[in-house]
Amino acid sequence: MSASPSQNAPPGERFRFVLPGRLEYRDAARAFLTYLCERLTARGILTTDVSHRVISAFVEAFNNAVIHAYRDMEPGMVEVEMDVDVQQLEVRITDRGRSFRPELVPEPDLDALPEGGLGLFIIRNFMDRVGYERRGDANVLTMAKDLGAKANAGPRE
Amino acid sequence: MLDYEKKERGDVTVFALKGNLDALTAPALKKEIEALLAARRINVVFDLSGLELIDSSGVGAIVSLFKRVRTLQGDVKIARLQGQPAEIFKLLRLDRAFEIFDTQDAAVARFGS
Repeated sequence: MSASPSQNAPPGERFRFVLPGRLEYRDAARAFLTYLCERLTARGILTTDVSHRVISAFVEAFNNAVIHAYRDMEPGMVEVEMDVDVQQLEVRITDRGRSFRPELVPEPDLDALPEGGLGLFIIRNFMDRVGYERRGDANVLTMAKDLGAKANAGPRE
Repeated sequence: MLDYEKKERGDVTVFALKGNLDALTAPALKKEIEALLAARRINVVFDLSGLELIDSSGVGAIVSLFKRVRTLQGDVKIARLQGQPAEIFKLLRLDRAFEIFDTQDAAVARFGS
């Protein structure tokens, strides 16, 4: 076993949920993510405000898988993985719906008060790192939030 | 899940939202909004003290109502914004578009001033 990053740090943990790709199941995984965030807040490495941002990003990502990836098709499963250690909280959402090109999604014009097209904007601004890749027939969205002092910074400008 | 209590306070309609206003629940609120506009009720306060979660679909429902009542010389005001919805309002700069009040009474009273 390799050395952990900090002598006193608890080891990293991984949690995995596989849920039907329907909106009514989203809150099962959200409830667990909320619990994880509350634990990190109790340890002093995540503030309540930042945990709200993580939850917001997760909700938009799950919605996107259900509403866009599985649009006009029989919904498949959505896999939610959460990896947490002392450095970061990483959430991966995998679906097997249609692929998308995040680089083609325009930034919303907030001054025009848009009524849609905000999901990816929320994810990108509330998380520190966001990646998307197509792996075979799967879409994998990975988003990470730094923990500790860096996590207390506001959304990126 | 979304619960809401609708109250008429003079010519102001107050929606006190509880739970989640999201892709799953926004359609039900949109129906209420259509009924409101059909009755020409164009002054609305959303009391968000009990709102646990709002997503981009929920934002869309409130912004859509805001735009429509504005064209009819009405307005939407927000009371008791807190928690996760406050983070979303800040990011999307909705805290600049909407007047936001610490109490429901203050939001309702603003329509009379």
